Amino acid sequence: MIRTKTDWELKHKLNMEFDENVNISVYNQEKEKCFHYTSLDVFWKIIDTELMRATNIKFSNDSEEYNAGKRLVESFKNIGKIPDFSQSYMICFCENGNLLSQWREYAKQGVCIEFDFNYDNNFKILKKDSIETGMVVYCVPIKVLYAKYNLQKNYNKIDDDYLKSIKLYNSSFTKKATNLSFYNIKESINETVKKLHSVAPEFNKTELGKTLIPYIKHYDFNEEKEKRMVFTFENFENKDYILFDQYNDKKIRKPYINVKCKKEDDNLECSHIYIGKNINFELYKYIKNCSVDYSRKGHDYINIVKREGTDIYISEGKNQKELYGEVKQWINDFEETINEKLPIKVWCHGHWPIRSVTIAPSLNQEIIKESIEMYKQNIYWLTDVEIKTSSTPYREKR
Amino acid sequence: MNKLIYLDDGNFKIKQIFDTVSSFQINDLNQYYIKRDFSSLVELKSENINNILQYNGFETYDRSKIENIKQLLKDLESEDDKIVVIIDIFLETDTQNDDLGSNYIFKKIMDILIRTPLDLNIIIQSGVADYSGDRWKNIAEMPQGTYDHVKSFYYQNLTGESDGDITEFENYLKKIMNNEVNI
Repeated sequence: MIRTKTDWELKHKLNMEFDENVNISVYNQEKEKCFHYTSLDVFWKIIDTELMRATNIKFSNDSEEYNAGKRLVESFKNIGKIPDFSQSYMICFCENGNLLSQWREYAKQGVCIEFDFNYDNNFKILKKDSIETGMVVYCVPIKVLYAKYNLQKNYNKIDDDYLKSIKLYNSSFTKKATNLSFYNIKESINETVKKLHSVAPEFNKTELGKTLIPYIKHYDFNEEKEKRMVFTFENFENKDYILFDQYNDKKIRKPYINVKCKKEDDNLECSHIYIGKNINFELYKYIKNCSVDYSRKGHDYINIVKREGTDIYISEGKNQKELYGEVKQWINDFEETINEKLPIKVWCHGHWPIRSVTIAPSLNQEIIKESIEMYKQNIYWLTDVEIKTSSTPYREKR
Repeated sequence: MNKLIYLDDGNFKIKQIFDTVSSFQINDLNQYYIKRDFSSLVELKSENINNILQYNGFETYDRSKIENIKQLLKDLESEDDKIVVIIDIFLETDTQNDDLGSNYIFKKIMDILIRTPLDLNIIIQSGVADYSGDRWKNIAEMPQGTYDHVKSFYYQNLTGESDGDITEFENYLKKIMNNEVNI
């Protein structure tokens, strides 16, 4: 698994030339507005257990895509053997928070959860017999590369001309580069290996190819506007982490891993409060002062750090719930002194960065909304999550 | 504009240490020297110090004068300035009793510094090995934990002896100026 930000960025540093001297990245990160469509059952599990499942890519709905991606990558010259089984596990998101096809496919009477991964990129892959211990890894959602291929016709003959005919699409490419093809990726891998292999042996075609495969999907699915968080095991490190879904199908057991959005151990105290730069300066001063008084009551020092935006974030720590209550109180006290309600949200690191939940079109939409509204009040880190209903009209089958 | 605030006493040790870091130039720099007697400061001016602003908040590091530093910090309130405070952990005071004098002053000043809304970096210089490392937290009676923007270092060379490691100070200052210390 890729443990650090530096290693992750190195592995995902592939650029394609689409115009003279103009480059575009193969891997387009988009950390905010990551929408996850799911059933109501899974939603409750996510907020109760704080676990999300990453499914082995070969056992997902897109298992055929892995085979196709592998076949295309294997056509590159001098590439090593890519295993038939995949060590990659993924959690899927959509760029759009109210997409009819997604409601139909994944969330009939379910929900769409919005995540913001701008500041939460460390995840704990849990050991299979644990709900706490595991390995901490770095990951960022990447936009899927939609490729217009037809392997039924061309399976045995994939040459450069054919790779040039496979056009690539995603929402980052459309405006800048409409003519990128799979051949550009091949060239990009060749160039990167040429430049970097001598200094960093991990830059070889096989490794770069293996990194690429989980992000390839057929063009016909492009309206899904998918982003993926991919966690890939190195050889032999996976046996302590992989679980099998025993319920879905009695014949096939799907491998998956449990992922938590946290990195610290639970015995540490909160060490930081991050405050949006656009926040009222008097409130900033007030919080800084209050935080010193708070830490003087037997807690660790709290560093106050500025960040973009208007929200407040509290770092992981065993006193996070208590500190969250304090911060809310400080904001409340300040609002009373200025006699104005401020639109400030307080988020907690070490939990999935959920920002909103949209209820799928259904006859029960309002009661589901009310239920989630009431439930989230019991979970401090969800307090400021917005609960919405989908504007798509509900239609019953006749 | 970068700003350097020295909280030093009569021996100008911090100033001399800064001057010793000769390989390192900070451009666009205002320096505020806070001490009780400015008369001998003129002699210490060197080529890499071109703008020293004397701040008359402390005729003496007296308990009654501590609040004056708040005024200087308020005068410096600005969004983008990079401000580094270099403070001698053991400031000379009129009383010989550390608990009432030097330690008291240091404790009060540190409390003011960590409460200010300014994005400060604080470097604490200690000429006594016993006061090095994380000991400053105990002397200042500060909460435990990690302080992103506070660094202490031990260095003593005024009497011709050399002890401690000045590169620690130099490297930290470089990191601040190169934005490698998060604000």
